[in-house]
Amino acid sequence: MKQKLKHLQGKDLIFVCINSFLLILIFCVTVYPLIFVISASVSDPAAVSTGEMVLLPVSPSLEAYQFVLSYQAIWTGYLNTIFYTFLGTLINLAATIPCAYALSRKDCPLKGLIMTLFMITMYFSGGLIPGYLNIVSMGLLNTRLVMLISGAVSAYNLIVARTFFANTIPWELHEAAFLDGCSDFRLLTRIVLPLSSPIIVVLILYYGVGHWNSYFNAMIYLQDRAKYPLQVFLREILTLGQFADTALATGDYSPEDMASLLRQVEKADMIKYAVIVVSTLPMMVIYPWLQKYFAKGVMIGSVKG
Amino acid sequence: MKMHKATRMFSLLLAGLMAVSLTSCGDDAGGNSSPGGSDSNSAGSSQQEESLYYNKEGYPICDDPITVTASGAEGRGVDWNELLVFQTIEDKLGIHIECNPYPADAWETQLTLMMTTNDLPDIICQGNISNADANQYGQEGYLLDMSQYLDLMPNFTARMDQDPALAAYLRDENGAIYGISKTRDSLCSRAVAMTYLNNNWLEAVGMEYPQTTEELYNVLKAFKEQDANENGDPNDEIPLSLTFDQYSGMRGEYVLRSAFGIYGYQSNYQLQTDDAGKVYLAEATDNWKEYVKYMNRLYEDGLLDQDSFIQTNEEYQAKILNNTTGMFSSWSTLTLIFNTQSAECYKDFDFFTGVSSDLTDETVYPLWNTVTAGTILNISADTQYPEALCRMVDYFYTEEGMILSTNGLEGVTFNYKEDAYGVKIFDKTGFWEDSGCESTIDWLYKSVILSSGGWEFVQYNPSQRVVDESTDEQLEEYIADADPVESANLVINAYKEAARRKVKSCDDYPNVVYTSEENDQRNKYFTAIQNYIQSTKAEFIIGTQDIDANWDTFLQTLDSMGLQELLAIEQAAYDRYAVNLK
Repeated sequence: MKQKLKHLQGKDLIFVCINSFLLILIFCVTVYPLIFVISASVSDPAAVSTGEMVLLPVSPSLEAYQFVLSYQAIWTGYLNTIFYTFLGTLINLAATIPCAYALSRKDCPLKGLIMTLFMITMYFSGGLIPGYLNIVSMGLLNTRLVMLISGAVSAYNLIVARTFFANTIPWELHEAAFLDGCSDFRLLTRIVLPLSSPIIVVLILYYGVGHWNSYFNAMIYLQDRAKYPLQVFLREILTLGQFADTALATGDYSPEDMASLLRQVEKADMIKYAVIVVSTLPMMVIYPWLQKYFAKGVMIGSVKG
Repeated sequence: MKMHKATRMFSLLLAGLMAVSLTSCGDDAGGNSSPGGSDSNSAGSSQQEESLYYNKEGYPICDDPITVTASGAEGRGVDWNELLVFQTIEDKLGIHIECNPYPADAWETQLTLMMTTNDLPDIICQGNISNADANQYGQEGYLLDMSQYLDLMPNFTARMDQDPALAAYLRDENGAIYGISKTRDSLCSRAVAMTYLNNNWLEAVGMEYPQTTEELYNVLKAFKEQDANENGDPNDEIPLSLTFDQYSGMRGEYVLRSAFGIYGYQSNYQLQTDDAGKVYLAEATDNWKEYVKYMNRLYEDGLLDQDSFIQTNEEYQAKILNNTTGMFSSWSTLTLIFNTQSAECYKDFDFFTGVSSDLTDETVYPLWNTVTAGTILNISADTQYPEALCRMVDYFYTEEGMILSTNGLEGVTFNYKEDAYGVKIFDKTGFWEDSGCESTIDWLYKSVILSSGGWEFVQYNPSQRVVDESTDEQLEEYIADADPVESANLVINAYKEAARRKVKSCDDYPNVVYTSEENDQRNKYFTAIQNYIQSTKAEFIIGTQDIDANWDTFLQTLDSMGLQELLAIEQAAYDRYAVNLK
């Protein structure tokens, strides 16, 4: 480090200094909330709410995690979310990749028209009620299937994938394969896909995170608690605290009940952070493994002017 | 949030379109699928000719149990089908209810979807539909008009006779009733401006309980100048602390305002009526100006907590718990003190009932409305069993129903116990401990009753009733001798009620219902005006704007924001209310 700095002189040195300073600043800004949330999840809630806890935990305890982990619904939600994320992403990929590939080929008929139709969905949707009626009439209401197949293709991801295929797989490669008697399917599975791992990872990440965080569809289309994904239960835990808050404001309770409600408010504050940690952990763990593909894939696949 | 609103507007628009198309489809097919109440009525009467599926009197309501559906908002993720209250309705009334609650934040969207798909459940429980909306949905034919079945609802009718405000609030302009609103029946639950004056501080500075605004000023000044909390530091006292416009500390404003002739529980938009029944806005009167000037004086002299407009509830509670405020209004914090320190310490706090000023001859304490705004139960117009469901609603106006909706069943969730004064106590010891829940209330909401008062149409609290009905001597007795640990609720309420009886009381401006056009018009002005009053009030009190210099501008701005138009709407709604009241 020192040796490297010696080589630098004058303006370069200033640049490196300012640059490092900014990077460190951005690093702090990014890391602080993460550490804060983790610390808050193990701290005394009173210390968090009064601002006594700044960075490191104050009077640490694992009580919040104990509660969260013993909350049966969380596990149901976790399993459901993993199921929806895994299978849903598979369906997304199976629907998006062939479509994007076909549209990326020069010899695809009516390419422009089909693309235009896809683009329209990016800007206009049918709206909530027609969407709901559609789901009802297909008999998908309150089924797990609705979480898997509704919105199987996102037009944005389709465009990213199409651009990737069109730009990275040379048309000459196709011609060569055809000359050797390769069929379209074989071409896709044996030649195109092996060359496309970055874009597949990008799609997995985009779709996967989408499924993981998905909550509105579940709220609208599911009635059965056993089918709820994690996010719905998390919101429920958070609103528990709000409930106690409003109840306290009315003051209609007996002293004993009031004390119990007060405890609930306190607890809800603490659980809030534990819940954030528990729900984001899997994504945080997976991301570093995919990160190197991710940067590459997004850059290549991005729409170029 | 914005997005959400936009979606909702859009969905409502579509809802309207769908409703139109649905009805027109219905006409093509012979006009039998419109979502109107007429269908169910005719269905009901044809059944009546054969044999009644329900009993007109006595329970069960249905000898052969009927099955109906219910939906609503559930804030705590409880499965209603497992709640004792629904099981008891089935066992006792012969009505099996299949419940399908939704998380609270999904409910509003679900309700719109259910209405557009013409798929409303028979019962909407904890639906939180505003009365204006309920009337609109009812008039459009979605909700059942319960006033058609009043002959089957003797207890409900009796309640409306006893509390005319309830009837006036529930009935729409044609007299129809499309939903049930919760009512409070005891004075204890209506005298809730919940402001307390620290007795020990009064003693420490050697002063009497204040009777006028000037006396109050002097008391607060003494708190500030002396070491009122006797901790050796004369400078850590905050004489009066409030949290304006939010948290429980906002209620202090209501009792202080009453010294200037403003009586009510509405922040920054308190309507009042004069003797001729003319509606006016208190915030645009000289009385309010005097009130704000008084608060400004307290603020400038350092008697009103300088953080009053910005502190959080936690900071507020901490101040009270640390004994650094002499006067505050936080009911929940006081409860915390009762519970954590000693139940005896309620004697340390005077329940503050207000003072009088040059503008008022005597002290008046504001009383909250008996009726709570919004409906908590509605019945679908399409239900096959309107009579049985109306009788079920009526059941919860009986003593037995009230107990069921608040405490469950004797021998199953509680045993009766009498405290030292013969007051009925619902003793739940022995019933909840094995449930794995951490407190009684937690267990109640998980397995016995609905958490947002779904069936509690009348706030039910026997100890409040005892306090209400007791003589002054009895009250003194409760305060002096009753065991605070045994019956804390009774003692605290007795204490409050005894203080309240020493002064006059005045009702809040009533809840009124707007027609849907009025509501649309009102929404244009209301929020902006309320926000403007709130921010200007803060500036006046803190002193960033001089109230004398800017008062005329303030009034002009209110008018330019549409105050007169708004008041015209309020007047129309109030006039209708006044007619219904008679």
